[in-house]
Amino acid sequence: MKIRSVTSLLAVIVLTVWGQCLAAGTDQQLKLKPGARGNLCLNCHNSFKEKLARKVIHTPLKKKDCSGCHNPHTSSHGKLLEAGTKTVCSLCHASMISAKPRSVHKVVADGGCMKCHDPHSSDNKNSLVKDGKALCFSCHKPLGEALAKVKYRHAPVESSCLSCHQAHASDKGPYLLKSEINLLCLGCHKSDKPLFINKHMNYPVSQALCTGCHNPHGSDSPGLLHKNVHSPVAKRMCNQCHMDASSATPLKVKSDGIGLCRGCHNDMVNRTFDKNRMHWPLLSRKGCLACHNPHASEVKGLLREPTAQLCYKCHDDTMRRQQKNISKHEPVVEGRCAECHDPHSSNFLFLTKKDHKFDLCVSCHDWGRHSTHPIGEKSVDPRNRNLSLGCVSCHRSHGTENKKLFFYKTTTEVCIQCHEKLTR
Amino acid sequence: MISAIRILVFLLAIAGSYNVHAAAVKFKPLAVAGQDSRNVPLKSPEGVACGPATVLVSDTGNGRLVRYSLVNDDLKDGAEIRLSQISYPLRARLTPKGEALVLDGKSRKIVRVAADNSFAGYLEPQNVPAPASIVTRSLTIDARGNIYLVDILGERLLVLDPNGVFTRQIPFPADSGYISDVAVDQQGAILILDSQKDQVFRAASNENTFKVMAKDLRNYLFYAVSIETDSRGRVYLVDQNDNGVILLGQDGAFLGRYLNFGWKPGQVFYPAQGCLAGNDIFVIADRDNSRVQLFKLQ
Repeated sequence: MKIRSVTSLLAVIVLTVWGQCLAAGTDQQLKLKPGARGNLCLNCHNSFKEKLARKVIHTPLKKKDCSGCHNPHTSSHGKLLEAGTKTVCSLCHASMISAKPRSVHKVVADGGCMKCHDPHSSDNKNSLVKDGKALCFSCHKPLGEALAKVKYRHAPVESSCLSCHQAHASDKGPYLLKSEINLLCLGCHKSDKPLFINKHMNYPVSQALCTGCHNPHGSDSPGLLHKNVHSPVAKRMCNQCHMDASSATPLKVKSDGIGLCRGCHNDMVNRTFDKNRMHWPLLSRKGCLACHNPHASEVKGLLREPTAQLCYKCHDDTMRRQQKNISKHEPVVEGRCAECHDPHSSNFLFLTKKDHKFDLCVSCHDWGRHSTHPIGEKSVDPRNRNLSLGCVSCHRSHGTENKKLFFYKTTTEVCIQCHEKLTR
Repeated sequence: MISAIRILVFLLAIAGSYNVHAAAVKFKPLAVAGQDSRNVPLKSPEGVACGPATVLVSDTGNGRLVRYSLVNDDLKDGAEIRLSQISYPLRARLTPKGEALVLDGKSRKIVRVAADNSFAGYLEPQNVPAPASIVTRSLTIDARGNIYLVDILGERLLVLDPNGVFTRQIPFPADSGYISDVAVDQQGAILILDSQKDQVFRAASNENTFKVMAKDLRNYLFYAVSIETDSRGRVYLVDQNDNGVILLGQDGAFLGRYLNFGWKPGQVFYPAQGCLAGNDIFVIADRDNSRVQLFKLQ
């Protein structure tokens, strides 16, 4: 025992002396003034006294080894860093993302370590720039604001987002969750408890998706149900759509596709089918459920996501084009797709609520009715005599790479498409 | 001098209308058909079906069909076909016997139109395995008259014999987005177009699963809605939302992009369907230009 202690002490002394010799050697090579190591930078960078007084100090700074991250002379990177801000941390810290992650925090994937961590020091654990939820909500603002207002908050959310989520990446679940959604929920909410069974009308909901009905963060409804609840769910009439709870397949729905919804929403379905053009997903196997959540949703109309996000999931090309546009139509920017389009069916191209060439535009843009330029059914488009002149003869309704939603770069170019004689 | 400049500008405009790539073909504007034989203009046509000497147009906005004769690389006649069973024709295809199968957008039924332009009944698929209901998004017909239906309800491709009797089905690939059209090549391989995820799947005539033929096409197109193949196995995709035609090789490799947006002849505006008349004339339902255009493939 004694021999071991002596050996350890000797090892420490040897390592310390060796380290100092190495440092001294380096200091000589760098021609540093005696005693300058670790203090030279701080002589000028006075503000670091305050940083050094904080509770958690990044190891290189603690050792006053500023050159661990910064080059004291020159650098191709800001703040004289040895590498770009997206990669400098990885010089010491191995990747926070495993080889096969299920989900990755975007800020981590983008190398934005410093958005959450202070590279010098902090009063918070892990050198975080803010503590706990405050840090998460500094980016996830809408969630933070919504949670501040709701009546009921999920208890783990009150304590920390990290109760359910990983900070960097998750190998086991979506949305950085520590495991699959249901596994995570059922870890606390035991599905074999009589209260759980009773609340769920004897249906084996542990096989379904908890977040289909519940908001895992918080809600104004008891039971943390989403803001908008489908009437049969609110009335606990699960068997209106599903097979009986005692049947062999209790979660199976009574009918596929639109047939199930038609049972109650018959008038609406009839109106939809009475039009010339159907939104094809409505006729797919998913039917109404392609866009709507049958149980509950945070979005009005039981939409699965806010309108724009939902539409762009399939109409990705529209979003791609929109990103290129300089002039953008306001409703498109604001994701109010349903302002012009009927998402179910229409008698018009593009499923617009009125003819997209003119009538639709003038429902908002009143000037269209007193424009001096010939426009309307009786005005023939000189470029193509099969067409009449409408707003879309010159403007692209979603937006373009040009001003005023014009198809062409300059006003002159727009005009001379028809007025060829005026071409100079 | 001014005339010479105008001619030069015109020639440049025509050249610009079919982008010249280092690809296998050029699209040379041949003819435009915007009216029927009685000078009634077409309105938002969404379908074209090509036969050896016929082009049948789904004149969607007018709720009718128009049958043109293909004579000397031009469309002649333009006989109107009005049937009470067709109020909003979308896709159309011709059988080897000259009959037409037309998908009606409103009823979503497939209407058989006889060679004499009369109603010849509905295509009612028989012996189709569950789900028995079908929602057809598009269709094609092979050289033997077999019928291929894109069934978006059953998420499968149905193959029927010329009488409409079920012969086989192939499920859509699990990772597909939105399957919108089908084509069959001369070897009997079935090609389906995934408009949402910008990919093409292929199943050889003896295969019962689709495999990716071309993926990651999003760099070349925005939203393709129509697929066609020629005798050399090359694939033509009509890109509705970016106003052009994409050509793929028989291995799915990108060969070129053709045509541009616009209202003038040679330009297209939301083209809806393309078909090949013979092997060297590409016919396009130029929907938002309310006309049909012919291009010579050179």
